[in-house]
Amino acid sequence: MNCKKCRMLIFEYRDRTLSPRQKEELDAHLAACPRCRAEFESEENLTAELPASYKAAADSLAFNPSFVRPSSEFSRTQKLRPLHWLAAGAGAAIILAVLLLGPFKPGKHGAFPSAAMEAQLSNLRSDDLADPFQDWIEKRMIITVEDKSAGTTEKYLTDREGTVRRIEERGRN
Amino acid sequence: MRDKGLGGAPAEGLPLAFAELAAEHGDRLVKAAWFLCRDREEAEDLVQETFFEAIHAAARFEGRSAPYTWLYGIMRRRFLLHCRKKRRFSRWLGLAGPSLRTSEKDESEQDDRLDPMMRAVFTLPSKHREIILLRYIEGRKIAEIAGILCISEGTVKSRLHHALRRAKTAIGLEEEAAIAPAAEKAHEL
Repeated sequence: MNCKKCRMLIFEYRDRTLSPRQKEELDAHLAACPRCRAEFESEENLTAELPASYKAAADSLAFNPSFVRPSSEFSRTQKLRPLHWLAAGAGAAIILAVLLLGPFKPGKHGAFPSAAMEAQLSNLRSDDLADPFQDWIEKRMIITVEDKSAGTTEKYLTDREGTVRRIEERGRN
Repeated sequence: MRDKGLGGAPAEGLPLAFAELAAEHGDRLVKAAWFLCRDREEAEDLVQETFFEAIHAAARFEGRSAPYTWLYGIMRRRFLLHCRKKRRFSRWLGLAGPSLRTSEKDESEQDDRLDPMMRAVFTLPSKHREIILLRYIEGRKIAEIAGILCISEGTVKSRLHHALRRAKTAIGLEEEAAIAPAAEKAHEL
């Protein structure tokens, strides 16, 4: 038996998993080789001394089981987990939809919020319509102008050239 | 070691089996965690995280190993994860400057409370400390260690051999360091 094999078998010697023949060979080698014997003894020393040293150093360490949260909290978070995924998916879908199809298309004068503009125009008279918003108009859209005092509603169709054409009129006698 | 199952979680409160496991293995686990990470607070955090994860993963426990071994496996994974995070963090701290790093003085003050053998073992890298823990403190056999660390028995033996050699050198250095001041004092007298 050579030293390399001996040093690998030292651990199994302690585990008592060696065959009688291997044990005999190892004993013979340890008796003849001072270096392997020193290795064997140092392992023996560590086995004998380290547990006591460890025990003394780690004796004050203790685990407080009350730190572990009750299981109900875990089950709640576990139940919520699919919802989190659903919410994240819905959020991503909304962001994607806004980016692809949203009303905020950048024009040459900035964003063009058609729905908001329609609401702003609802109290204007038809004569006031063209000038302030003409520059904003870049695509075809319908603007509803409601005159509450007169009880009339007019609808205008705009086009890319900025012209406004009345297409519907209600409530006027 | 008793080998208990983990089923039967009641609706409210900590599952009974887990309360028992925490009472039975919590201390042992926190000591092992401390041996691995060398920091008491970090060890407690590690064990807490281990139990959190164990509660989540209870359904997957097949009872092929003892509960402590299973918990140790979880704790070990958490520790490796912490090490990876720390390495990444220390890289950033390294960029930020030396003032943000943990001072070496604090570490040495913490080590002063240990005896020379433990101090020597604590100078070894975590890979070697772990194998020393499993072999010499927990008294596990080579085959068991190989199973826990998911490595071959040959690798366990070779790692043990290297750990032993480094530990021997470190213990020798610690003993020399302990003898030197005493010899100096004697010389002065």
